[in-house]
Amino acid sequence: MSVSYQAVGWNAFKKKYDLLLWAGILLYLAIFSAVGLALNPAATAEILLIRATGTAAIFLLHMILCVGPAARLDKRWLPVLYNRRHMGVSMFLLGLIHAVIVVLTYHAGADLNPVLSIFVSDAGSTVGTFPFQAFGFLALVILFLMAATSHDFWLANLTAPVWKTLHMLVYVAYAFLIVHVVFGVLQSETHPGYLALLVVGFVLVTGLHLLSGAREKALDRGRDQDVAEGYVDVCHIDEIEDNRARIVSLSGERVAVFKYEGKISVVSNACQHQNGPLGEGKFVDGCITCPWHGFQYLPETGQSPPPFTEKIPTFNVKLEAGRILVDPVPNPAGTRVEPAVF
Amino acid sequence: MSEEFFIGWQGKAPEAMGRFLRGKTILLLILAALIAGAAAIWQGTIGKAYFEFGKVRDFSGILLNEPVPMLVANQADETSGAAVYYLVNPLKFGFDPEQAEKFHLTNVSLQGSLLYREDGQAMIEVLPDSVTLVEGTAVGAPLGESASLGVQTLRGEIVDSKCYLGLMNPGIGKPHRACAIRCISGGVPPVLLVPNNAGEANYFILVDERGGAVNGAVLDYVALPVEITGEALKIGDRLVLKADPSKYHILE
Repeated sequence: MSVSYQAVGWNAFKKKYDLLLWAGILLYLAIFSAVGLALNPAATAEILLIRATGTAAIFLLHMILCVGPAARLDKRWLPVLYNRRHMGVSMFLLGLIHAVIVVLTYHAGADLNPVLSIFVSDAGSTVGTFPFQAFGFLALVILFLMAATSHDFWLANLTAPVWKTLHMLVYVAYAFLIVHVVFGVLQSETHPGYLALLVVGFVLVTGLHLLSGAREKALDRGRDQDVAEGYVDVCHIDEIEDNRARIVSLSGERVAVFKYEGKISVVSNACQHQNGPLGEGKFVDGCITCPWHGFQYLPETGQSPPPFTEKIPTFNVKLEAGRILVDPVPNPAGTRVEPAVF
Repeated sequence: MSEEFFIGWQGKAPEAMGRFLRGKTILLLILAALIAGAAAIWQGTIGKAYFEFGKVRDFSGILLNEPVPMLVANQADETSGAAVYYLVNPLKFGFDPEQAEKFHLTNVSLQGSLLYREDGQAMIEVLPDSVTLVEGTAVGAPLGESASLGVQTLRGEIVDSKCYLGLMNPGIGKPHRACAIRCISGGVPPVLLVPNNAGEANYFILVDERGGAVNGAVLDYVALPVEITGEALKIGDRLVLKADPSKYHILE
């Protein structure tokens, strides 16, 4: 929850995460290069590196895109989601190495500015002249913006909606990179295995997103409450596990109804950090704790405990014969609301 | 129900979650290794072409300016087995036209790095200002006699001879197109690769109908499937195709 500019708040988990991530990346690069060189002794180092880093980046991007919906479908993936930005920055670095070597190899040392050469050498509308490099360049620009703003410092300064919108551009970058690969190297390297892998990856990414989306939609249908005037009966207190929440949808707005220490408090379901589902979180150390990145809020006020400053809307709540009744009109973020006591 | 709950900043995943992730991490590492291996194995465009980067040798022989700058060496080198070398400058530039004209049909010595393919085609990346005149001039046709093969229609891919002979590997196809365009624009001789029955390629040096350079006129056709109709010549063991670039035909 800190927004001071500290590069990374390291802990044992993050160190292990990054160690495994980079072990995997280096393993990939080493195997690609060693096998490539063994089978093609005439291959040059720069071409092998271009190909190794390019394919590794695409592989990692698929993992990045899959981990979100995978965690929605199975919470055991949440620890991978927790440090997804480390995967993103690593993927950007692979793409950057790929791009720098490409520019130095294919474009530099000639009669034209190498960056300009990227855009003028392929500028046609046929398959053979389609500007695949420009798409790769634009994807890299998006990935750079994402990597550069991946720290919570930027999340806090850009505001969550702007930051979230910016980082949703990863799907645009993915589309650009598919175009980059299909109209680029796949026009030359024609082994069907490459296309098959790309198709499997695309099906996996879209399939997981559709599946998790459908599941969310189905859950939302079950959570929908008729909103008339005044308080809405959302459930009985026995339907909620201690220190956990039930998510209900009031006029399409998800709220989290928390049961803890003999009390009921209701807050917005969206974490201020990255819109994480607070209702899937847990009451820990006196705070509602987001399952995505561990951001915390006091249940009565919707405020992060000092010195942190995040705030989420709260909702008025009361109990009648064990039934939880919620006022669907949200209070301004950070407004104290007395919990319903049972 | 007491579902495990992960909090990243606590520094440790809950036990069952940790077990699940350990298994998945091992699977992902195996998957990464398999994909890396497969992606490397599936590469099909890396040729048997070599560039002796950083290794400078001495060469001597007759320098020719036509059909493109070449050196007909006094003896074949042991590495490539070639005695005829295309000449180019470092980076993405062709051999200096002034020097080519100045030393045309003269006996020279020069220094440079070798590029070659195992099919016997070779090139020298000439060290700037290393060409010096040696006693003696050419007698007859150093490259060999010239014979017309008649008008032919050939299909193939235009590449820059420097990258194809080993500067880049592969030096063909779409990913290399931008580089080939820059090399040819910089004066590296363009060559039409025509697949032959042996599964290899015949090299046709491209010139215009009068034997002049076509570099600037072929850029739009580079690395695309093309069809070219023109007069084919055989000069010694070199093949040359004389054709008007404005009549080249893209096949895609």
